This record gives sequence, C-alpha cells and structure tokens, in this order.
Amino acid sequence: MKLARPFQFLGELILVEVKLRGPRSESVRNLVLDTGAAATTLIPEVIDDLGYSARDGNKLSRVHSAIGEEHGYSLNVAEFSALGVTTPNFMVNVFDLDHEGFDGLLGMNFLRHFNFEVRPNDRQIIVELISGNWSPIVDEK
Amino acid sequence: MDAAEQSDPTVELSEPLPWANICARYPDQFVCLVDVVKVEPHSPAIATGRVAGHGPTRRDASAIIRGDLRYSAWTVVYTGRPTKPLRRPPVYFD
Repeated sequence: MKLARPFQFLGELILVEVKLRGPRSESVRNLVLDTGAAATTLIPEVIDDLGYSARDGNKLSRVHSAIGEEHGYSLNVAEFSALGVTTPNFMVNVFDLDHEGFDGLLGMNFLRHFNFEVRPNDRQIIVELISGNWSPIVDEK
Repeated sequence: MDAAEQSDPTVELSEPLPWANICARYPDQFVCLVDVVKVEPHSPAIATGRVAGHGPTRRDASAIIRGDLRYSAWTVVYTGRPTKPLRRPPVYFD
C-alpha cells in the first residue's frame, strides 16, 4: 500500500505535518524530516501542550551540542501520526531545539518502518507500508 | 501553573483569518490556532485559522487555551521568518 503526503520547504529543510495525541490534547505540528536523526525529537513546549511533563519520561538522554552536553529525556506519546501513518505509544526524545520554524525532527525510529521516496519537485513524499504496528490514517480530512 | 491558568481563563477566538492576515496582525510571534484549514490536506501550510492566543514564545501563545478545558486540539506556529540555525546534535540514551 502506498500513500502520498505533501511537504513544505523551510529554506532547504523538508517540513511535514505530524499529528500528536496526549492525555490533555491533540496537536498538529510541523517537524523536519531528518534521515540523519536516529530519534524523533519533540520540543518540550509540545509535550507540555499534550499534557505530559518530564515526570512522564522513560529515561534521560544526553545531547552533545556546540555548548557542551545538554540533557533531555525520552517519552512515549499516546498516538503519533505522520506521512499518512499512525502508531500508538511512540517513543520520542524531548529536547529544546530552539528554532522558531518547526517543533521537532522526524527521525529514523519512525522512518525506518517504511519505504519512502522524497519527490522534491512535486513536494510530495510517497510512503510504502510494510508491516508492524503501523496503520494508515483513517481520517482522510 | 502560570497566571493565565490560575485565573479561570476562557479563550476568545478571532474570526477565521487567512494566514497572510494572521501574519500581518501578529507579526514575528507565535500564534495558537484552532479550526485550522490547510492549503491542501495534510500539508504544513495553513490557509486559515482562528487565533486563540499569541505571544513571543510558544508557551505564551498556548497559555490560555491550555487552561480552558473546552478545547482539546490546537496548534502553535510562528508568523515570522525563522532566524535561528538548525540544531541537530547527536542523542544518547542512558
């Protein structure tokens, strides 16, 4: 099964729509598609809006940045949907990326479950579902 | 809990506004939007939305709606041109 989803350029970055559900709210946010990122990352403000806090975290993460070692944490989001696919209980890294234009990175812990094709000229990403705990989004709004 | 949440807040929504009008009315800040209509389905690009809050940070923009239990879905976006570089540091889990 193949799905097509539009994306938007933010400079040279590929911005995709992601839908998140937590105990307090649902939120649609924009993440950068990042095949160089092992972990999908969300900024703390998004986690707060969903109704989570650092107390809901699973384990600490260490992030090596230009200013030294910073700390984040991993957390399981109740529902995570991107590129036409939704999955429950998805683990993300929570870390402040300090950027105005996006709310996180869509990393390989999500992307590795599919075949996908980025078509820059068409501004579309084609996703081929393989298997596992991943379902096409039913709500085709 | 911040001040907005302590004072029994109620969200006052704007009328549905085109994205260009939102940017003009709230320049270079974060806006909290509900009833968002996309340029095309599932695109990051916004066609219209109703403004529920705004401010210099994401937390400021969504502060009131977070305390108003009538609302359970919203988004927060920046109306200006981003100026900060992409931070993409490696992550290690302990």
